[in-house]
Amino acid sequence: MIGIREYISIIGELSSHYELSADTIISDLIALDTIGTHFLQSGIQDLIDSNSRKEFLKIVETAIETELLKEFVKELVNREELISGLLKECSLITEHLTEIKVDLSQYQIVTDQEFDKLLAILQKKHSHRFMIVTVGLPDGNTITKYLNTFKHTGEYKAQLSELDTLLSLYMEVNSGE
Amino acid sequence: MQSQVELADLKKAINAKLEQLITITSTKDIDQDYSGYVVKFSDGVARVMGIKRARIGQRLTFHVELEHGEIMLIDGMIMDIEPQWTECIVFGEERFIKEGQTVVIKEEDRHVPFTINFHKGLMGCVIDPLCNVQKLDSEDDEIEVDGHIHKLPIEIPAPLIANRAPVNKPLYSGIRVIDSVLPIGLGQRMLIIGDRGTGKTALAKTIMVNYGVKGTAIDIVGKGLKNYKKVFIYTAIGKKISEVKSIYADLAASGIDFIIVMTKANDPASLVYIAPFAATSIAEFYRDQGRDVVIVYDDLTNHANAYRHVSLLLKRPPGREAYPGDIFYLHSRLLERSSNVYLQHTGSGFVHTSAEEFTIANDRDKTERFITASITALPIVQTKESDFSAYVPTNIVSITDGQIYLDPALMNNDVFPAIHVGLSVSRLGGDAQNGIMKALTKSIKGDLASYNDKMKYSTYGLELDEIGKRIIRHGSRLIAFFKQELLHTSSELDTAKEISNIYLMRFLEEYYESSDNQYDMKNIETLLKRPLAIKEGDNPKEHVMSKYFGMTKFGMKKTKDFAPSDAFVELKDGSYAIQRAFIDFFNIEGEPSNMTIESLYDGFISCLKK
Repeated sequence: MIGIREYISIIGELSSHYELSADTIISDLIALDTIGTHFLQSGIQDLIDSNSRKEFLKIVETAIETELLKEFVKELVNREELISGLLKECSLITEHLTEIKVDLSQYQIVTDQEFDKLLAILQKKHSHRFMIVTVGLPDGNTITKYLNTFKHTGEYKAQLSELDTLLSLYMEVNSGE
Repeated sequence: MQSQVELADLKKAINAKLEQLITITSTKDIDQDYSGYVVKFSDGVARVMGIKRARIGQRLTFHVELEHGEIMLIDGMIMDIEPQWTECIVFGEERFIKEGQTVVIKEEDRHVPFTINFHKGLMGCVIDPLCNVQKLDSEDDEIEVDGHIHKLPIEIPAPLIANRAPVNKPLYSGIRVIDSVLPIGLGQRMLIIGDRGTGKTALAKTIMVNYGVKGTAIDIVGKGLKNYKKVFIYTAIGKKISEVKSIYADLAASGIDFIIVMTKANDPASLVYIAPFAATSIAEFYRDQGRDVVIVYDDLTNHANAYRHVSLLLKRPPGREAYPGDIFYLHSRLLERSSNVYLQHTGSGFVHTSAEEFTIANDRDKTERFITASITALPIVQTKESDFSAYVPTNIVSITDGQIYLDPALMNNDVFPAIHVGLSVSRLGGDAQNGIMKALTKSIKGDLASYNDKMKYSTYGLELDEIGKRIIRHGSRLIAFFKQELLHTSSELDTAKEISNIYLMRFLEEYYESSDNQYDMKNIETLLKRPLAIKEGDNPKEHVMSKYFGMTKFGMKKTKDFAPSDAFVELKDGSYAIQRAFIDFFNIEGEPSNMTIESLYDGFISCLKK
C-alpha cells in the first residue's frame, strides 16, 4: 500500500541527497499536515474536485518553503491513482515523525561534545526517519534539534567517525590496560 | 533559492522515485488489504496503519527481522479500529517490536476471531493462554502434539437459552458446609470471595480434587454416550509460579483430568486479559464432547486489573476505580458461557440441541442419543479489608448464581473452611441437592441465625433460658461439624449421616428434658448407647414422631431426581415427608425400651442408603 510512510521516505532520501536542512523540511512537513487536517475538518475529503485542488495547491505554494516538498505535492496531485487519499495521508504526517525528549537537567554540566555524542547515538538507534529531539539542559534551557536519519550527511558522518575514535580512546584509557 | 536546472533535476528525481514505488508495491506478494506496518509501539500496545480489512478481536502477526536475517513471528490482537489506524495488544517478546515493522493478518485468521491451537495432548499440562506448554521443571519432557489440532476461538457467544438444561444435578464438593447449606449444581457459577489468605484457592482446589475423585455424575438418559470422566481447568491469572506449582502437585497427585492455564505475575497484561477466555474455550471443547467440566478462575480481580491496564493504554475513558465502562460486560460475557446444556449425538459427535427436541424425544421414549453436559464455574475474587461492596466484587456477585464468602475473622479463629454462612448464598437453593440432603439441611441456616442471635446475648454475660442454651449447643455442634481440614473431604453419605446425627442430638436433648431423665450431653457416646426410655402406656410411634416431627416434616416435591420410596409419606399439599423413614427404622413393633439411639440411628442410615 502506498501511503504517507512511503512519501516521507522519498522526501527523506531526496532531502538527504540534496543536503537540505532537516529544520525546514520538518517544519514544512508539519505545515503540510496542518493544511491536510484543515481541509478534512472543513468537510473536504479528497482533491478530486478541481476547485479544492486549486485551493490546496495555492495554500501549499505559500505555506511550504522547500521546493522539494512543493514539487512533490504537485506531482502527487497530478497522479490520478494517488490523489484520492492524499488529504488523509497528509493529515497523518505528524504520526510518522519521531519525537524524543531527553532530560539532562540532573547533570551538573553537559559539554558540546557530550551533546553531539547523544545526538549521534540517537541517530544510530533511530535510522530512516525524521526526528524531533528536545533536550532539557542543566541550566534549565531546552534545545530542539531536527534530524533526518534517512541517510547520514557528510557532516554527521565525519562527526560520527570522530566520536567513534574518541569513544574507543576513552575506553582504552579507562580499561586500565 | 534553487536554480531552474536544479528544479528540473528535482522533478525528475521525484518522478523516478514515485514510479519506482508504484512498481514495487504493485508487484509485492502481500495482500494489501490485510497488511500494514507499525507506526507506534509503547507499553504493549501497537498502533498499526495500512490494514484495510481489520476486525475487532482478530489475530495479527508481527514480522520481526532478527539480526541474522531470521524472521520471528509475534502474535497480537486487534482491540480498537479507528479511521486511520488500528490499535492492538501484543502477546510475547515486546522488545523486538519496532516502528515500521510489517504486520499481516494471515489467511487462516482473516474470517475468524482470535483462536488458540489446542490438542488433547495438553491434558495434565500447564499451558499459557496461547496453548504453549509451560515447563515448571527443567526436567519435564517435551509434549508432542496428540492428534488433531483444534482451532478454538477464545470469544464465542454463550449457549442459547433454548439449549440450556436446568441446573439440578449436585456437584459434591466434599466440603460439608457447602454440600449442606450452599449446594453447588453442575452448570452453576459459584463465586468464592474473600480477603487475601482466607483459603480461596485451597477451597477451590479441594472442591476440584474431591469432585474429581469421589463425585458422581448421574445422568438419567444417554448413559452409554456420556463420558463420566470429569475435566478440571484451573486458570491461574497473574499468579506466582510457586503457587501454581503447589496446585499442580496436588491436582497431579489426585489423578484427575486437569489442565492449568497459567499466566504469571510478570506476564504482559494482554496475555493475562485473554487467559480466562482461552481457558473457557478449552472447557467448552470438552463439554461439547459430553464431559462435565469444572473451571476455576483464580482470580478475576487480577483479570479486572489487567483489563484496566490494557484499556487505559488504549485511551478508553476510565470510570469508577479507573476501570473501563465495559468491565461488567467483560465478566458477564465470560461467565455466561458456563452452563448446563442439552447435547444430541449425531453419529460423528455431539451438537447442541434444544429443550424442545429433548422433550419430544423424551415423549417418544427415544432419549438414548440425548445427554446433558455442563461447565461449572468457580470464579475467585479477592476483597480488600473485607470490602464486599467494592466495584469488581459487587459486579461478579451480581453475575454469579451465589457466593461463598470466606471471613478473615473466622480464619483467625482457626475455622477452615472459613465460610461465613450468613453472607454466603446459593441462589439455586435446594434445586441442586438430592431429596434426602435437601430435607436434612433445610433448617440449618435458620438454626445458625438463631445461634448467632443468642450468642450476642451470651457475650454480654446475660443468663439464657433452657431453650436458648439448647439453641447455642445445637449451633456450636453445627459449627464444629463444618470445620474440616484442607483436602480432607467428606462423602455425600457421611455428610448426610453427620447432619442427621446433629439433629438427633437436638431431638435427644428435647426428649430427655421432657421425659425428666438426667442426661449428660458432653458424653455423646454413652448417650447413644442408652436405651430409649419410653414409658409404659405411651404409644411409642406417636411419642417419637411428635418429637421428631419438628425436623422431619420438610416437604419434598416429586422431581426427576426424587422418586418417593415406601419410606416417604405424601402430605396434604402433595409433597413428601421423610418421617415415614423414621417410623420404619424405629420399627417400634418390638420392645422399644430395649432399643438404643445408636441402633435407631443405624436403621435411619440404612434408610438413607435406599
